[in-house]
Amino acid sequence: MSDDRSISELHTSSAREGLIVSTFVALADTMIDEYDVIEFLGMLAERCVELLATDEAGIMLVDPRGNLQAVASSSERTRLLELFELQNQEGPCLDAFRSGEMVTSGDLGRDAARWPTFAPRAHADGFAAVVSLPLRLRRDVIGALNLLRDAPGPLTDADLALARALADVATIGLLQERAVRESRTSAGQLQLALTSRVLIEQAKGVIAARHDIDIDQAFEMLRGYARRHGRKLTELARAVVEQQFDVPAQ
Amino acid sequence: MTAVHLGLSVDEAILRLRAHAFAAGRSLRDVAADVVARRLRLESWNID
Repeated sequence: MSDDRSISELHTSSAREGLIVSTFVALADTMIDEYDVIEFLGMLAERCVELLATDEAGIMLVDPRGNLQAVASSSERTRLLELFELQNQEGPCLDAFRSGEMVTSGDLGRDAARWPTFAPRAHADGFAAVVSLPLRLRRDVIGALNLLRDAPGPLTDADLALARALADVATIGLLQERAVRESRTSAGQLQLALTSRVLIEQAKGVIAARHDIDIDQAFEMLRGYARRHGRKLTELARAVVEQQFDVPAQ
Repeated sequence: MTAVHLGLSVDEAILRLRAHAFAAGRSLRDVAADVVARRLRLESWNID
Protein backbone atom coordinates (compact mmCIF):
# COMPACT_ATOMS: atom_id res chain seq x y z
CA MET A 1 0.00 0.00 0.00
CA SER A 2 1.49 3.35 -0.90
CA ASP A 3 1.35 6.11 1.70
CA ASP A 4 -0.15 8.72 -0.58
CA ARG A 5 -3.40 6.88 -0.96
CA SER A 6 -6.25 8.69 0.75
CA ILE A 7 -8.26 7.11 3.53
CA SER A 8 -11.43 7.19 1.42
CA GLU A 9 -9.70 5.34 -1.43
CA LEU A 10 -8.61 2.68 1.02
CA HIS A 11 -12.11 2.34 2.35
CA THR A 12 -13.52 2.10 -1.11
CA SER A 13 -11.03 -0.52 -2.21
CA SER A 14 -11.44 -2.61 0.95
CA ALA A 15 -15.23 -2.44 0.61
CA ARG A 16 -14.83 -3.64 -2.97
CA GLU A 17 -12.52 -6.41 -1.90
CA GLY A 18 -14.95 -7.45 0.83
CA LEU A 19 -17.76 -7.67 -1.69
CA ILE A 20 -15.66 -9.71 -4.08
CA VAL A 21 -14.69 -12.10 -1.30
CA SER A 22 -18.27 -12.49 -0.10
CA THR A 23 -19.40 -13.18 -3.67
CA PHE A 24 -16.97 -16.07 -3.95
CA VAL A 25 -17.94 -17.28 -0.47
CA ALA A 26 -21.57 -17.33 -1.62
CA LEU A 27 -20.42 -19.41 -4.57
CA ALA A 28 -18.66 -21.83 -2.23
CA ASP A 29 -21.90 -22.10 -0.20
CA THR A 30 -23.70 -23.34 -3.29
CA MET A 31 -21.46 -26.40 -3.17
CA ILE A 32 -22.34 -27.17 0.45
CA ASP A 33 -25.88 -26.08 1.20
CA GLU A 34 -29.10 -26.31 -0.63
CA TYR A 35 -29.69 -22.96 -2.18
CA ASP A 36 -32.04 -21.27 -4.53
CA VAL A 37 -30.58 -20.83 -7.99
CA ILE A 38 -32.61 -17.72 -8.82
CA GLU A 39 -31.65 -16.08 -5.51
CA PHE A 40 -28.02 -16.88 -6.26
CA LEU A 41 -28.11 -15.47 -9.79
CA GLY A 42 -30.06 -12.42 -8.57
CA MET A 43 -27.39 -11.82 -5.92
CA LEU A 44 -24.70 -12.06 -8.61
CA ALA A 45 -26.54 -9.52 -10.77
CA GLU A 46 -26.75 -7.17 -7.78
CA ARG A 47 -23.03 -7.64 -7.11
CA CYS A 48 -22.24 -6.72 -10.71
CA VAL A 49 -23.92 -3.37 -10.10
CA GLU A 50 -22.08 -2.85 -6.81
CA LEU A 51 -18.66 -3.90 -8.09
CA LEU A 52 -18.55 -2.70 -11.69
CA ALA A 53 -19.22 0.65 -13.30
CA THR A 54 -22.63 -0.57 -14.37
CA ASP A 55 -26.16 0.45 -13.39
CA GLU A 56 -28.18 -2.68 -14.07
CA ALA A 57 -27.26 -6.29 -14.76
CA GLY A 58 -29.20 -9.27 -16.04
CA ILE A 59 -28.56 -12.95 -16.59
CA MET A 60 -30.12 -14.80 -19.53
CA LEU A 61 -30.10 -18.55 -20.12
CA VAL A 62 -30.95 -20.56 -23.20
CA ASP A 63 -34.10 -22.70 -23.05
CA PRO A 64 -34.50 -26.10 -24.77
CA ARG A 65 -35.87 -24.39 -27.88
CA GLY A 66 -32.75 -22.28 -28.17
CA ASN A 67 -34.38 -19.05 -27.00
CA LEU A 68 -32.77 -16.83 -24.38
CA GLN A 69 -34.83 -16.28 -21.23
CA ALA A 70 -34.15 -13.67 -18.55
CA VAL A 71 -33.72 -15.56 -15.27
CA ALA A 72 -32.26 -12.97 -12.90
CA SER A 73 -31.74 -9.25 -12.73
CA SER A 74 -30.26 -6.61 -10.45
CA SER A 75 -33.73 -5.13 -10.17
CA GLU A 76 -37.10 -6.79 -10.75
CA ARG A 77 -38.60 -3.73 -12.36
CA THR A 78 -40.89 -5.10 -15.05
CA ARG A 79 -39.66 -2.56 -17.58
CA LEU A 80 -36.07 -3.74 -17.07
CA LEU A 81 -37.04 -7.41 -17.29
CA GLU A 82 -38.75 -6.64 -20.59
CA LEU A 83 -35.55 -5.07 -21.90
CA PHE A 84 -33.68 -8.29 -21.15
CA GLU A 85 -36.51 -10.43 -22.47
CA LEU A 86 -36.57 -8.50 -25.75
CA GLN A 87 -33.08 -9.81 -26.42
CA ASN A 88 -34.37 -13.27 -27.26
CA GLN A 89 -35.09 -11.61 -30.63
CA GLU A 90 -32.25 -9.13 -31.02
CA GLY A 91 -29.57 -7.38 -29.00
CA PRO A 92 -26.14 -7.71 -27.46
CA CYS A 93 -27.06 -10.77 -25.37
CA LEU A 94 -28.23 -12.68 -28.41
CA ASP A 95 -25.07 -11.66 -30.29
CA ALA A 96 -22.83 -12.69 -27.37
CA PHE A 97 -24.72 -15.96 -27.05
CA ARG A 98 -24.43 -16.77 -30.76
CA SER A 99 -20.83 -15.70 -31.22
CA GLY A 100 -19.46 -16.82 -27.85
CA GLU A 101 -17.65 -13.48 -27.73
CA MET A 102 -18.10 -10.33 -25.69
CA VAL A 103 -20.36 -7.77 -27.37
CA THR A 104 -20.30 -4.08 -26.46
CA SER A 105 -21.76 -0.74 -27.41
CA GLY A 106 -20.35 2.42 -25.88
CA ASP A 107 -23.13 4.57 -27.31
CA LEU A 108 -26.57 2.98 -27.72
CA GLY A 109 -27.93 6.24 -29.14
CA ARG A 110 -25.88 5.55 -32.27
CA ASP A 111 -26.46 1.83 -32.57
CA ALA A 112 -30.02 1.77 -33.89
CA ALA A 113 -28.79 0.24 -37.15
CA ARG A 114 -27.18 -2.62 -35.27
CA TRP A 115 -30.16 -3.37 -32.98
CA PRO A 116 -33.23 -1.59 -34.42
CA THR A 117 -35.55 -2.58 -31.56
CA PHE A 118 -33.23 -3.02 -28.60
CA ALA A 119 -30.98 0.05 -28.98
CA PRO A 120 -33.73 2.72 -29.13
CA ARG A 121 -35.68 1.03 -26.34
CA ALA A 122 -32.63 0.77 -24.07
CA HIS A 123 -31.69 4.35 -24.88
CA ALA A 124 -35.23 5.54 -24.11
CA ASP A 125 -34.99 3.74 -20.76
CA GLY A 126 -31.92 5.82 -19.93
CA PHE A 127 -29.11 3.41 -20.82
CA ALA A 128 -26.18 4.73 -22.86
CA ALA A 129 -23.85 1.73 -23.01
CA VAL A 130 -24.02 -2.04 -22.82
CA VAL A 131 -21.69 -5.03 -22.36
CA SER A 132 -22.77 -8.64 -22.91
CA LEU A 133 -20.57 -11.55 -21.93
CA PRO A 134 -21.29 -15.14 -22.96
CA LEU A 135 -21.80 -17.69 -20.18
CA ARG A 136 -19.70 -20.67 -21.19
CA LEU A 137 -20.13 -24.22 -20.07
CA ARG A 138 -17.33 -26.35 -21.45
CA ARG A 139 -17.63 -25.91 -25.21
CA ASP A 140 -21.21 -24.68 -25.11
CA VAL A 141 -22.56 -21.21 -24.54
CA ILE A 142 -25.56 -21.42 -22.18
CA GLY A 143 -26.52 -17.77 -21.90
CA ALA A 144 -25.19 -14.28 -21.36
CA LEU A 145 -24.52 -11.71 -18.68
CA ASN A 146 -25.80 -8.27 -19.62
CA LEU A 147 -24.45 -5.05 -18.11
CA LEU A 148 -26.28 -1.80 -18.78
CA ARG A 149 -24.76 1.61 -18.07
CA ASP A 150 -26.33 5.04 -17.73
CA ALA A 151 -23.12 6.74 -18.91
CA PRO A 152 -21.62 6.19 -22.38
CA GLY A 153 -18.20 4.67 -22.96
CA PRO A 154 -16.45 1.36 -22.31
CA LEU A 155 -15.76 -0.52 -19.07
CA THR A 156 -12.18 -0.46 -17.77
CA ASP A 157 -10.04 -3.55 -18.35
CA ALA A 158 -10.11 -4.26 -14.60
CA ASP A 159 -13.93 -4.15 -14.60
CA LEU A 160 -14.09 -6.36 -17.67
CA ALA A 161 -11.81 -8.94 -16.06
CA LEU A 162 -13.98 -9.00 -12.94
CA ALA A 163 -17.14 -9.14 -15.06
CA ARG A 164 -15.69 -12.18 -16.84
CA ALA A 165 -15.01 -13.82 -13.45
CA LEU A 166 -18.56 -13.08 -12.27
CA ALA A 167 -19.95 -14.58 -15.48
CA ASP A 168 -17.94 -17.74 -14.80
CA VAL A 169 -19.18 -17.76 -11.20
CA ALA A 170 -22.76 -17.64 -12.51
CA THR A 171 -22.10 -20.69 -14.68
CA ILE A 172 -20.40 -22.65 -11.90
CA GLY A 173 -23.20 -21.74 -9.47
CA LEU A 174 -25.76 -23.06 -11.92
CA LEU A 175 -23.93 -26.36 -12.13
CA GLN A 176 -23.79 -26.72 -8.39
CA GLU A 177 -27.52 -26.72 -7.82
CA ARG A 178 -27.88 -29.76 -5.62
CA ALA A 179 -31.30 -30.93 -6.74
CA VAL A 180 -29.96 -31.03 -10.24
CA ARG A 181 -26.56 -32.38 -9.47
CA GLU A 182 -28.33 -35.68 -9.12
CA SER A 183 -29.70 -35.45 -12.63
CA ARG A 184 -26.11 -34.97 -13.85
CA THR A 185 -26.97 -33.47 -17.19
CA SER A 186 -26.25 -29.86 -17.93
CA ALA A 187 -29.54 -29.65 -19.86
CA GLY A 188 -31.40 -30.65 -16.69
CA GLN A 189 -29.46 -28.11 -14.68
CA LEU A 190 -30.34 -25.35 -17.06
CA GLN A 191 -33.96 -26.44 -17.18
CA LEU A 192 -34.28 -26.19 -13.41
CA ALA A 193 -33.18 -22.56 -13.42
CA LEU A 194 -35.59 -21.76 -16.25
CA THR A 195 -38.47 -23.55 -14.52
CA SER A 196 -37.72 -21.71 -11.27
CA ARG A 197 -37.94 -18.43 -13.11
CA VAL A 198 -41.32 -19.34 -14.60
CA LEU A 199 -42.65 -20.28 -11.15
CA ILE A 200 -41.51 -16.96 -9.73
CA GLU A 201 -43.20 -15.05 -12.57
CA GLN A 202 -46.43 -17.02 -12.00
CA ALA A 203 -46.22 -16.39 -8.25
CA LYS A 204 -45.81 -12.66 -8.88
CA GLY A 205 -49.06 -12.76 -10.89
CA VAL A 206 -50.94 -14.70 -8.21
CA ILE A 207 -49.81 -12.30 -5.47
CA ALA A 208 -50.55 -9.22 -7.61
CA ALA A 209 -54.09 -10.47 -8.27
CA ARG A 210 -54.74 -11.57 -4.68
CA HIS A 211 -53.60 -8.31 -3.15
CA ASP A 212 -54.55 -6.02 -6.03
CA ILE A 213 -51.03 -4.64 -6.33
CA ASP A 214 -48.67 -4.31 -9.27
CA ILE A 215 -46.18 -6.94 -10.37
CA ASP A 216 -43.11 -5.15 -9.02
CA GLN A 217 -44.66 -4.85 -5.55
CA ALA A 218 -45.70 -8.49 -5.74
CA PHE A 219 -42.10 -9.58 -6.21
CA GLU A 220 -40.98 -7.50 -3.23
CA MET A 221 -43.65 -9.21 -1.09
CA LEU A 222 -42.55 -12.65 -2.26
CA ARG A 223 -38.84 -12.07 -1.77
CA GLY A 224 -39.34 -10.17 1.49
CA TYR A 225 -41.34 -13.04 2.96
CA ALA A 226 -38.82 -15.65 1.73
CA ARG A 227 -35.94 -13.75 3.31
CA ARG A 228 -37.66 -13.04 6.61
CA HIS A 229 -38.72 -16.64 7.03
CA GLY A 230 -35.64 -18.34 5.60
CA ARG A 231 -37.64 -19.91 2.79
CA LYS A 232 -36.22 -20.72 -0.63
CA LEU A 233 -37.66 -18.37 -3.21
CA THR A 234 -38.56 -21.07 -5.71
CA GLU A 235 -40.25 -23.34 -3.15
CA LEU A 236 -42.27 -20.45 -1.79
CA ALA A 237 -43.23 -19.46 -5.34
CA ARG A 238 -44.41 -23.01 -6.02
CA ALA A 239 -46.61 -23.03 -2.91
CA VAL A 240 -48.10 -19.68 -3.96
CA VAL A 241 -48.74 -20.85 -7.55
CA GLU A 242 -50.35 -24.09 -6.37
CA GLN A 243 -52.46 -21.84 -4.13
CA GLN A 244 -51.49 -23.69 -1.01
CA PHE A 245 -50.03 -20.57 0.52
CA ASP A 246 -50.74 -16.87 0.43
CA VAL A 247 -48.02 -14.38 1.29
CA PRO A 248 -49.57 -12.24 4.05
CA ALA A 249 -49.73 -8.48 3.53
CA GLN A 250 -47.35 -6.75 5.93
CA MET B 1 -53.35 -13.23 -12.25
CA THR B 2 -56.02 -14.82 -14.40
CA ALA B 3 -55.77 -17.98 -12.28
CA VAL B 4 -56.71 -16.01 -9.17
CA HIS B 5 -59.40 -13.94 -10.88
CA LEU B 6 -61.14 -17.04 -12.20
CA GLY B 7 -60.31 -19.46 -9.39
CA LEU B 8 -58.37 -21.76 -11.74
CA SER B 9 -54.97 -23.42 -11.71
CA VAL B 10 -52.26 -21.65 -13.70
CA ASP B 11 -52.43 -24.42 -16.33
CA GLU B 12 -56.15 -23.78 -16.81
CA ALA B 13 -55.58 -20.03 -16.79
CA ILE B 14 -53.19 -20.18 -19.74
CA LEU B 15 -55.91 -21.97 -21.74
CA ARG B 16 -58.34 -19.15 -20.98
CA LEU B 17 -55.73 -16.60 -22.03
CA ARG B 18 -55.09 -18.49 -25.26
CA ALA B 19 -58.83 -18.71 -25.92
CA HIS B 20 -59.25 -15.01 -25.34
CA ALA B 21 -56.30 -14.16 -27.60
CA PHE B 22 -57.60 -16.44 -30.35
CA ALA B 23 -61.14 -15.05 -30.16
CA ALA B 24 -59.87 -11.47 -30.14
CA GLY B 25 -57.37 -12.12 -32.94
CA ARG B 26 -54.52 -10.92 -30.75
CA SER B 27 -51.22 -12.46 -29.72
CA LEU B 28 -51.04 -14.28 -26.40
CA ARG B 29 -48.20 -12.00 -25.42
CA ASP B 30 -50.27 -8.84 -25.96
CA VAL B 31 -53.19 -10.23 -23.99
CA ALA B 32 -50.87 -11.31 -21.18
CA ALA B 33 -49.26 -7.85 -21.11
CA ASP B 34 -52.72 -6.26 -20.71
CA VAL B 35 -53.60 -8.62 -17.86
CA VAL B 36 -50.32 -8.02 -16.07
CA ALA B 37 -50.67 -4.25 -16.46
CA ARG B 38 -54.26 -4.60 -15.11
CA ARG B 39 -55.79 -3.16 -18.28
CA LEU B 40 -57.68 -6.40 -18.92
CA ARG B 41 -59.33 -8.81 -16.54
CA LEU B 42 -60.84 -12.03 -17.86
CA GLU B 43 -64.17 -12.77 -16.20
CA SER B 44 -65.71 -16.18 -15.76
CA TRP B 45 -67.08 -17.62 -18.97
CA ASN B 46 -68.09 -14.62 -20.91
CA ILE B 47 -66.82 -15.80 -24.27
CA ASP B 48 -64.83 -12.75 -25.10
